Amino acid sequence: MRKLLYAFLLICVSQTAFSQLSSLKGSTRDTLEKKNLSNAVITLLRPSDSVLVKYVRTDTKGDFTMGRLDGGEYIMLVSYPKFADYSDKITIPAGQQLDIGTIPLTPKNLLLQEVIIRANNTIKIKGDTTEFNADSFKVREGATVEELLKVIPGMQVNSKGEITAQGKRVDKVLVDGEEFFGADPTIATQNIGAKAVDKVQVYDTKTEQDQLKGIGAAGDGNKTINIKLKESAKKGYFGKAEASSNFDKLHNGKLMFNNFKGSQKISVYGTKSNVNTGSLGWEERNKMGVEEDMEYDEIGGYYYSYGDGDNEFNDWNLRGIPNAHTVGALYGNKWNEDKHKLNLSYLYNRLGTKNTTTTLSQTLLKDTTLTNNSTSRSEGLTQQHSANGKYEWKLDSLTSFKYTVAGSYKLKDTYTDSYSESFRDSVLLNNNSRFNQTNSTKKQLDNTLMYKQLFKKKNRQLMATLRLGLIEDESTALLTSTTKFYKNNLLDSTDLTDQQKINTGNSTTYGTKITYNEPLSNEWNLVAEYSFNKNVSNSHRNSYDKDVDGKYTDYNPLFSNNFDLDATSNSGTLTARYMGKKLRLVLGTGLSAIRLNMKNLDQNTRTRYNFTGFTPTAQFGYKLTNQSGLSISYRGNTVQPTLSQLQPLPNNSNPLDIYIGNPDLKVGFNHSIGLSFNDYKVLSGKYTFANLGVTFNNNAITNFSDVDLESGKRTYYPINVNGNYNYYFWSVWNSGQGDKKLSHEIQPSANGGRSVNFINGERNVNTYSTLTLGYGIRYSAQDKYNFYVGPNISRNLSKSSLRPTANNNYWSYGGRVNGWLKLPWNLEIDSDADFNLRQKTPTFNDNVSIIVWNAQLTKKFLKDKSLRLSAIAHDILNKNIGFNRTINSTFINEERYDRLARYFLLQLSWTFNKMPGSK
Amino acid sequence: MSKRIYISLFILAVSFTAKAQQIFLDKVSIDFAKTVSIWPLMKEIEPQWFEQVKDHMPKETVSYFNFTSDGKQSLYKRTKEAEMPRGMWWQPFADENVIYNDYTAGTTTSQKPVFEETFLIQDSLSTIKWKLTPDTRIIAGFECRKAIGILYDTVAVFAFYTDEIMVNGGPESITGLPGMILGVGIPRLHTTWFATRVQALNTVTPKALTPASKGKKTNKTEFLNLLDKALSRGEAWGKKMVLAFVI
Repeated sequence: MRKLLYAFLLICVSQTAFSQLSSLKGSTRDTLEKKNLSNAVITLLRPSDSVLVKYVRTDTKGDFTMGRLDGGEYIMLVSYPKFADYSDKITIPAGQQLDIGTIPLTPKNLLLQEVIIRANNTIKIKGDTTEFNADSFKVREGATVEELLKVIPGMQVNSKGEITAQGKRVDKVLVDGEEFFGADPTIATQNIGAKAVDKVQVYDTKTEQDQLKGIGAAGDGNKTINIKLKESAKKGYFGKAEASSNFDKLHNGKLMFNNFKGSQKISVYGTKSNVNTGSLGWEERNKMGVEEDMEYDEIGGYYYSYGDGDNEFNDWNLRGIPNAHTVGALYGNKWNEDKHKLNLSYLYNRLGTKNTTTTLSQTLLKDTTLTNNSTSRSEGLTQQHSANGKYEWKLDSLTSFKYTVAGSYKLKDTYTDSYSESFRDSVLLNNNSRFNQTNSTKKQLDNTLMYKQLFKKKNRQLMATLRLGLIEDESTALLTSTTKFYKNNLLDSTDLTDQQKINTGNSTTYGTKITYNEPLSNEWNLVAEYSFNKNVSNSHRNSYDKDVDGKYTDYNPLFSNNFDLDATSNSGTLTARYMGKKLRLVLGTGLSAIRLNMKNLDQNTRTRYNFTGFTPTAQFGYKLTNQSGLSISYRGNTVQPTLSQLQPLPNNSNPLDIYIGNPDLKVGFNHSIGLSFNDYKVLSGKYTFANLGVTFNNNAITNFSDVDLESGKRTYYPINVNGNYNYYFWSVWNSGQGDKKLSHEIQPSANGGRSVNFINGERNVNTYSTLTLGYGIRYSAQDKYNFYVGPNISRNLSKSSLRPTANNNYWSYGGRVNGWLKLPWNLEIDSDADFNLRQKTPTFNDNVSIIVWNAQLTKKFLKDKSLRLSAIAHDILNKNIGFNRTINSTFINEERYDRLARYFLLQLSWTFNKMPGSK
Repeated sequence: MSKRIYISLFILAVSFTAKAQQIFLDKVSIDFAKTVSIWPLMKEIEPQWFEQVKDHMPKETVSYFNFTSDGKQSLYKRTKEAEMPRGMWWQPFADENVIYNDYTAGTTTSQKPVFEETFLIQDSLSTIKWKLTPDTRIIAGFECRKAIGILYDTVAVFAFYTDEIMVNGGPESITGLPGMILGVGIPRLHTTWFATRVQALNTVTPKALTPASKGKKTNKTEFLNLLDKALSRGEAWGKKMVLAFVI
């Protein structure tokens, strides 16, 4: 018996192993017309998951045979246009042919469909929408929408979270009519709390064009669920809290909170820092919704931004040891289908700094050298309140308005105490001790109204802008200065200054700009622009000497200056641009007339200046491929002298360095030529970029200095010279980036030029250049580690006609190294070092080496790793100083200032968020 | 013995003349419109940035393709590229594929320009796991049945095909259904292809069915591996791009 069983099993196994391929045959027939149907499709599906296995069409006689089939069960589906599908479960015996015979097909119009609609108290039917009142369905505390759907009649949710409503698949789940984070319906159903739901609507997925934007809509006959949230639940927030300290003098904190409710968004943040200005980083600004001032010039076809160029609260401009606080708030809202958009923001910055600067400078004359050493200690406190508003209104698809307003109020108090000594070769000429205290306020308000009109004709566009700007300045300063002049090392004379300076200024600017773009063809566009600007301002700078009673009442006319200024400019430009597939051309020119009308209130005199500006431009761009291109550009522009260059506005804040104006200055002209090439290979990651530019200056404005060799005093004024130029070249070549790929980068660059100035009546021609070669190597394994090493070397050259023998050439070396490594137990380590090494020169007899090495060890906590504890070591070698060196052949300057050097911090940071409607 | 089931269809039956001879097409020229919904795509890739960049993104891009077949082989290529308003931070990708399919031999030759390199991929026709559904929809005048396919084990594809056209092809490399695919949607790419016009042809010149011949020769697996290494880098953006190129 047992043997028999074995034999049977063996037969079964071999049967399968050598199983012959099966086949299926049959024919199709129209039951109504009693005709065989040709070209009908016979499809075999796998019964377990209805996946298509094989298909065949019937021949002209309506017969079919399907070969090379495995034996087994199938679902046979037979279809023919405008006939009802025929479906049957069949079993094809292994190795044999199954003759299914004649398959009857019935025209579809003979079949009718039954429709049943059911309704009760909790369910409403509006058109094709069925609406369920969420509160009518009992779910447990803390339940998700998914659980709610499970108890709603006619809905099923399977283990994968897939929903079936009224027997149809739900391909889309909307929250308040909008897609909730992408196409996956489970994101919404599993993350939103049932409590937050007001109503659940079920309707057929629409096929209109606008519904097609979400791709799920393509499946018609499917259902869409719309979850309407209770008003109170359309809320969410995210934020970050961070604190760090060295448990001594350094304490930093950062708190950001972003709350949103529908399209309304409110953010607040605050920072406190002893290591930087506390300004938010770029990424943080974006997260908080701070709008970058970036605009697209649709007519010019480029982006521009008018950011805060001289923002004092920027880490780049930080000098000394900071104590900073910031507080900011933002509000944003959109309504009426985003046709109205409002943004409001407020920011308060408070930055206190303490700094000590030491400066060593040399002026090289023909046969003598003047040296100045100075030390200054300063303390400052700057506070600024700024408020910004922006309102955009789109009337229709062609017309829009935008109004922006920006106001700021700045208070700045500084206190500087300095001491300096001047030498001619090694003979002491003078020493100066100076104390300056300034308290100033500045109020500023800018308004812009922009109107944009598009037309039915493509690319035709009109833009008009109105601007109004107001500035109010006020400052009070105390200056006491004692200068002792020496002759043959003996005190010769003493200069004393003890003054109070009261300055006030007002400025009103208004202007308009109209730009019109007319398309001449698909490629050619003509752009005409006209602008008018008027500025009315006054400036009162008055100095008072201390009188016998110790009060600052004696008016000092020498260092006082009062005037009214009226400046008007009219300008127009005409530009033709060609935008082809590969070629881009711009040709144009601008003309402007500028009139300055100045009334000197001290002497009661009027001065008028008239300037004509001229700005020709030409650009040529050629796209070699989608990722590589070449461009050449030329730009000419007139350079008007500034008012302070024209008018003598004496300033004695440094009595040893006196600047006076020159009313005879001529308008200069600059020619700039640029050349750039870029090539990026996306697949290999290789890229090459090179950029070259030269500017020639005609009638360049430069300084005419008079240095008194006996006293060391310098007086200088601006004059026009010819023969100045400067150039730069920057290029990079990268061998290709990628994961687990060694990438090399080479960066050759150069810059230099020629400048002419005058010292003590002698013409001095300077030529200077810096040549740099950088190299970098990078390797990274995603989420595991990465490292970078990038050294560079520079040669600095300069030469002056006045002192051809002076050698101020030197080498400098630098570079950057950084690395990051992921360790077990949620630990991460990262470290970087910056190197700046300078060779000594005849003037500076020490090698200045600044190496700043930082490291950080972080441990992440919690399931979502949102809590991080870091140990931070900054400037481990304690070498960080602020350093600046300028070598201008006849003028050499080296400056050192305070910077925070070595410190250790322990930092804790936590990021948190709650999605709208979640538990 | 076996249980017979009629599957009713959720489409109102159009008037049907039983006496009319059903026409089946095999020589066809089909125009497709490919629509990429950029906004939801961007929202998925960069949810944090979306609000800030959306004004610099077109809502959707539409490019046009033609599919010509003589019943045995077919050629699919672009006829009109997507129009892009100026100043948009968007460049359509994977929009220049030229696909030649030979249904008798079961092979395909596709030319796919991927940035600086053009590839010529020679392989067998795509093997997509299709599940048929009873749902139908009319596209370009043809009643199409909906099928759901799974590409590379994870990517869902919705396709609508008609058995009135006896070409077992479709836009891009989407094939394998018992009829011509006139509509395709890939949710992960927020992209749809829908036929806008179907023309019956008397003859098809061999020139209209000449496969592209230029490009670096490779096969599907190699091509996928190469793109995955070069473009995806584990990021959402790259992954979508790779998928768009390999479909």
